[in-house]
Amino acid sequence: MLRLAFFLLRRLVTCILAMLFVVTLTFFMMKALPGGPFSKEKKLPPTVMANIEEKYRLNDPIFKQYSDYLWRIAKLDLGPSFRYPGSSVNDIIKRSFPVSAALGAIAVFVALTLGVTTGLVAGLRPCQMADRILVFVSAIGFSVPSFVLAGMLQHFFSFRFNLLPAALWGSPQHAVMPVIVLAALPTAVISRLVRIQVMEVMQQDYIIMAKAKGLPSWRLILFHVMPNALQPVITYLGPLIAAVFTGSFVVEHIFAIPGLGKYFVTSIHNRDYTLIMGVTIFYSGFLMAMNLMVDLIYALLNPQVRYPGWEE
Amino acid sequence: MRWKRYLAIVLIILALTVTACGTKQPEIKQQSEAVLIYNLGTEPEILDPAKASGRPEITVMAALFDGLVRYNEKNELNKGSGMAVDWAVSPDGLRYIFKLRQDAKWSNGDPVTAGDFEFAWKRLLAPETGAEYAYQLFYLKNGQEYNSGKVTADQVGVKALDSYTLQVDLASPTPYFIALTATSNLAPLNKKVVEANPDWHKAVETYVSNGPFELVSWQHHQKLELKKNPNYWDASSVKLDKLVMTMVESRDTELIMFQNNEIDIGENPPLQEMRKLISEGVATVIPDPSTYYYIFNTSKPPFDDVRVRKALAYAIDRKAIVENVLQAGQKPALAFVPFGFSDASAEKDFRVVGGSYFKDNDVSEAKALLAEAGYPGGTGFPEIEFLYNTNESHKKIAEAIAHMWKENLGIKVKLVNQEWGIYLNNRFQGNFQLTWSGWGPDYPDPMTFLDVYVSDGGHNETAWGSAQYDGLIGRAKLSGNSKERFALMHEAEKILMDEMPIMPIYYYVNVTLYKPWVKGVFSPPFGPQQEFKWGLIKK
Amino acid sequence: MEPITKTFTQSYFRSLFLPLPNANSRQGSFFPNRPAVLGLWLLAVVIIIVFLGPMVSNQMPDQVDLSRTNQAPSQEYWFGTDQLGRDLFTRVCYGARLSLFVALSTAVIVSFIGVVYGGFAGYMGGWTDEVLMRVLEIIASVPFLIYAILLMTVLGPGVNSLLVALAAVYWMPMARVVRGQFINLKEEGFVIAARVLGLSRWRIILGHIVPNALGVIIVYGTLVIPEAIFAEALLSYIGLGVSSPQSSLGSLVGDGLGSIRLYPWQLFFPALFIILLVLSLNLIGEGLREYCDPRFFRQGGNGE
Repeated sequence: MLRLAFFLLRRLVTCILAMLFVVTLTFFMMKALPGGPFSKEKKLPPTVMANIEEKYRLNDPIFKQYSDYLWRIAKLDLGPSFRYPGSSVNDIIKRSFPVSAALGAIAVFVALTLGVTTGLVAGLRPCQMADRILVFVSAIGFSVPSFVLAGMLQHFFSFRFNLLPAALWGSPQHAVMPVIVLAALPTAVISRLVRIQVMEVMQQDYIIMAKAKGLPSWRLILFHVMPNALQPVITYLGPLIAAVFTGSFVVEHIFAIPGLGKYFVTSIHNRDYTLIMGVTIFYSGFLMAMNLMVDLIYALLNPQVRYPGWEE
Repeated sequence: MRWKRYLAIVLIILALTVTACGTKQPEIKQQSEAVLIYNLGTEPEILDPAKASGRPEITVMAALFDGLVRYNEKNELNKGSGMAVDWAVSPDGLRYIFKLRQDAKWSNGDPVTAGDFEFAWKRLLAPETGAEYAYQLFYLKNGQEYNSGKVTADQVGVKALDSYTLQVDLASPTPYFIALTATSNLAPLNKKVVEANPDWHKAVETYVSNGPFELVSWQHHQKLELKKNPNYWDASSVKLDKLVMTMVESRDTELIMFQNNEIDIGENPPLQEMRKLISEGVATVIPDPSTYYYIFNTSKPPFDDVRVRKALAYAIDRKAIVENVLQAGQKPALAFVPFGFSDASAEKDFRVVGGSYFKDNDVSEAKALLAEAGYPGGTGFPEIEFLYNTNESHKKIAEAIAHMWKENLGIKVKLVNQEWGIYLNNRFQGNFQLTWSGWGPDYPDPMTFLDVYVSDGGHNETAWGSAQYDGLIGRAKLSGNSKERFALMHEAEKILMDEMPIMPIYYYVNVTLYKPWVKGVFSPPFGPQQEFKWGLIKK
Repeated sequence: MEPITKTFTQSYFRSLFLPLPNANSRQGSFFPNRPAVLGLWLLAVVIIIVFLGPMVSNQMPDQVDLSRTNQAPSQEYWFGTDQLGRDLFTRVCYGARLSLFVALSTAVIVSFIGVVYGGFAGYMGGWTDEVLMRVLEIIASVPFLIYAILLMTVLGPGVNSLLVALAAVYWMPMARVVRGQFINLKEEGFVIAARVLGLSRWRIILGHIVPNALGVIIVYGTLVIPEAIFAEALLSYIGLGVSSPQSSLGSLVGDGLGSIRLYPWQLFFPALFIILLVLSLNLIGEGLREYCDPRFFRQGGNGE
């Protein structure tokens, strides 16, 4: 237990340090981008611009802005958005993340279910018809750009056959197409991972032994093959959850989903400084947390894994 | 130990399922109510009238607020159309006395008073508000001075003489001042509410407005829901019970939703569909008094030569571009000021009086000019760079124009596309040879266009300047005589087109998709994208 | 999912599962691996079409002709024409060339940077390794678009900055992979032997470790190619791609999306080429990977 606590503490300190670097790097790179949050096609009169810069403290020296910002995030306040002055960045993340996370959760669930099933089917009987088809289908899953897939789905399901609402958020029907787009690639990845892993596990001595002992095949698969075959999937889940739960620009743009993903693109285009910093901090924090979680689950599944430095 | 593994797996799946089930239930549209669904197309940045700066925000504001006056569907401003029942102007055109209606109420029941206007206008100008459109009130006496912190609020030329009388003093005569008071930035604010809670506009519960509708809910990046404001002075004219504004950004998605009856009004359908939608009568096209044009950087060769600029401007076939690329019935622009502004006599259009200053697709003249400038048939002409921000129609227009210049003049053009922020920066700093621009009116007078290209104009990025032009504009601004004023403006426009620092291409249109059962909603030339006050549903 | 907008890429995930090196793993034959062979054939067909097609079609990719806009595929215009009357077949060919060029160059650049950075970290180990890896993670956490836009500002728009931008993301997972290889290889007998013989550090690295890690580097490089094609397409979609009249498959698909209802061929053909290219490269990459994967051979070659 002490070891676990030590491990967690060590990770926490590393994460905070890394975060500080991320914040610094992002802050100065972002400020180096040409243009600002208030540069518009119709330029503002100088007096008006001066008032706005004063209001948002954009006329302070850059290091003062930086230290003010650090002090602010130390208090967990990400500041007001420049683009949406009616909302704070905390508000924006608080209301958009649950939407992305809900969609992401369904997508990950679908990807896991489908990926594991197909991978298992393919891996148990490699190089047979089912395997060949599944390998090919998953290769196609890798090959269709998400915005093409989204556009096609919308065209057929909403426009041609009017089966599903074209966009917006609120009912289970609204989630169908976004989930398919989000889940397509992870399904293909998981299916492949499981397939390779199952093929390997099936060659292990203990499986051959269990088979020889006459264990029913469903028990064999459920209790001996699966737990071992799923380990790389769990490693994959960390970064996957971090990426999918924080939303996708393409999906949110095409299906008008009020999620977090769009801000990773629009905040930068709008030079919405506080929002850029906010989503960056949130995403890297979330990613770090997910990786930690994966490590913990991994350790739980694999008691022989030692906590610190298990990675390599 | 093994049970732990299963526990872990079960826990993961459970966690995922629980999050997955947390989705909201759909809302059911009630049939008995008159509900109109309009796609606003984007999340409004803010719902504070003082800070509304984009057209989507202004559209929402127009539904929520009533200014001193309000445009009707014939594009007229009448006494009694808004909060002001009557007004008088002093002979020198500097002092306006507005009489306000006494039956006007805020959505919370408070009366709308002259004090609310005074408060709102001073708040718009106050430096600490940091409002982008504060300059809309620089026409007031001491308006700009107050905004730059030189004078105090009580020296600004707006004052409530009593609860229902508003006195306004201007810095100089402004013939279009009444029209300005129709803009949403100049809407009144409930002084009591706003002073008590500076964040009043952030939450639906504290939101107070005086217009045809009031705010019911704001689901960010999803939709705004508005309902009829029962306290509105002209509530009997408002036939819609509920107005929903969705925020679907993708134009392709919007079109699908429109065709599936998920929305009743949509705007700007995808370029490719334009011709079909218009010919089928699904899309309504209304001229927009704005101009799309290219600007030359006249400080750098080869565009320091007026003959080169003119040659390029004459050598393109605007009609072909409008018909084949844009396809929405835009008019080719052969002058700077668009249609839609009245001339000295109000029934005549400024553009009709001014006419065209050159011929479209005048290739022979263009070739002659280019040869005269020393590049016969394009020989020796350097490759030029056209700068644009990533956008489908800028790209398509530029590709078509580049092709025309190559065919007609033998000139090669390189297209350079940049991200918006970088693009704007380069344009403002003059780091370009040739780029696009678009201008729309800030107020309903040709001056809003012509004023742009004075030598020290904040938006003049061409580096072009003419003392004669500046003189004409200066005289027109001070002139109290409408006939003389318009003559001067026509003369100035002629100079602009003779010198050609800008190359007009087309006049914009607004394309709106209305479902056949939507009546009474229209797209006014100034202000909001759609006016909903008189809208109704007739199924 | 488009992790590129947040920097962590698909290759980052893949880099977690690349095979462990085994000096004796490259046995058996690549060719009986049917999907890989299919991939090779597909790629060959696409490349032949893309490079020889324009000679046969006899059209220019940027020949605007407003009198023949939006024509359906016909004998004259095999893939139809676009909104400005340009021959889509020729445009797709040129676009595919550009996409391929961008992707291949990215793979080469990425391999180089990855080998140097990852190799150094892996070989040195200890503190150097720790610091270099943390630096990598920090760089990976800055949103990709900030890099991309900054690069476009500094280098100007165009293929060059696109290449640098793509390389700026994909070198990171490559470095991770190479580092892993080096860590394992440097404990192998032949490396220890070389060290005992007193060979210089660089000779050991270049002469002994790199050749043994080459298989995995090539495999990984192959897998970067389809991803770079995707990434370029996505960058075009959000407006950071190549400038007109140059077009890539990505920008063609982006243009075609709005035509899906009226002129579906404007979307179909560019999308088909992206899918074919990426599919073939993926199949080849996976084939190479299985070929190099020791675990796979335990069950007898390709499992036939």
